[in-house]
Amino acid sequence: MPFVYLHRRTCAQGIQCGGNKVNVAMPEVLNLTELLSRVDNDQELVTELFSIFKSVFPSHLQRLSDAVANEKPQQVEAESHTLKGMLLNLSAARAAAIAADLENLGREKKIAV
Amino acid sequence: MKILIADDDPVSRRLLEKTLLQAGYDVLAVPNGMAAAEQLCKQDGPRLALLDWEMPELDGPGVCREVRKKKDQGYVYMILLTSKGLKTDIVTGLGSGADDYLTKPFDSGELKARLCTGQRILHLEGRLVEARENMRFKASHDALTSLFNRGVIMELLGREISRSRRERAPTAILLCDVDHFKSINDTHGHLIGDEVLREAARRLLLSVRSYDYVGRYGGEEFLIILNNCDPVSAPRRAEEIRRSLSDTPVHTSIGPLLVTMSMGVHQTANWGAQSVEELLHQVDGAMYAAKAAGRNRLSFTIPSDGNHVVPSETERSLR
Repeated sequence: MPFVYLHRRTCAQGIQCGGNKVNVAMPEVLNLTELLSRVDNDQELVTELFSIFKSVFPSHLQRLSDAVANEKPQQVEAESHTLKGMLLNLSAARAAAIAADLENLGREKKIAV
Repeated sequence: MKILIADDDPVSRRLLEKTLLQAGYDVLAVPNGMAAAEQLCKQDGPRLALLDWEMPELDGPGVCREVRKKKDQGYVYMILLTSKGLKTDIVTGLGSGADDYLTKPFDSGELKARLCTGQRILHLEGRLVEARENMRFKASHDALTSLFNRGVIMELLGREISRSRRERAPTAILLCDVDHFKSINDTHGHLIGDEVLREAARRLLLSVRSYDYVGRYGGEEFLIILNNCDPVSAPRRAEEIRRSLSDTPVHTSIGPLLVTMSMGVHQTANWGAQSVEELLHQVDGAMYAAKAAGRNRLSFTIPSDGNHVVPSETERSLR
């Protein structure tokens, strides 16, 4: 997934700590129960929301890639923030967490290529 | 109730829109802060708003600041939506003029509850505005008849005369006095007298156009301003107004009473340099002439400028 690749590229540190792998509980990819409860079980709305996401995601990803490539931390922060918001709404916790990390890295200006 | 939502994230915007539509709101969704500020600053724009914090160009707090600058319209209740959660952010958000703050992703139950709080505040404002308008009405209208009170009708008279002078437009001024009012009060009591005045006021209002003014000038005196009433129509209209009272008895608690009035009429298209007081003095004189000539009739002021338009008095006999 290109998103995770981007994350690895921009991470200043991995999740290794003192030589030992730390077992961090990964947030789940998608919590459908939570998502459905957010939309009052409106499955049509879920489909609609995913389709909106699918249509705007490519351009956001492109802008994010460009921001990393052009070393623009403020733009990394802004684009990641927007993506994070969307992913949180879609209960895609893992991707949202990654977006949150990217946002922080952008804010702290740590986007060494 | 109309609500505005502003969010540059289309997923969030659609989710909010659907949630609120289902809750019965009339939703206006915009994708940025500039559009939000524009809509909220309109005179009858939405009074409730959900604003995302981070938006390009004008962010949520920026929208709040813009809206709070406009003090001359109804209150707009604004809630900021954001994934920020630090106390300093909350302080900044509320400091920019927001009424409340919700973190994303929001819980729809909490969102609706906080919007209800907002509606309570708007309802309270509505009650205050209503109370203020009631007081305004009471301050400018006569309590018994609901006509303009003396102060207001005098002010309107001054304004109309200035306008007529400026535009060289004709206006007619009628001063009406209920005939034998003192004896109505003495014979039947003041409560009946009040009923008569209320009914007279009602009939006068019905006999004039929406752009004319009727005021309670004195105890049993009414001042009527007929705007854009030319000297040819004035006698006819004044006569219609007189007859609105004399043609049909007034139904009171003690039975039908025949009530008439004497009317002084001043009409001209040429105002000269007379002051309001001088004009009133003339109309007053004409009204007294009508009383002296037998009551229940019109009497016209004698124009001092030589532009004689109508005979100086109309003879009518009591029915």
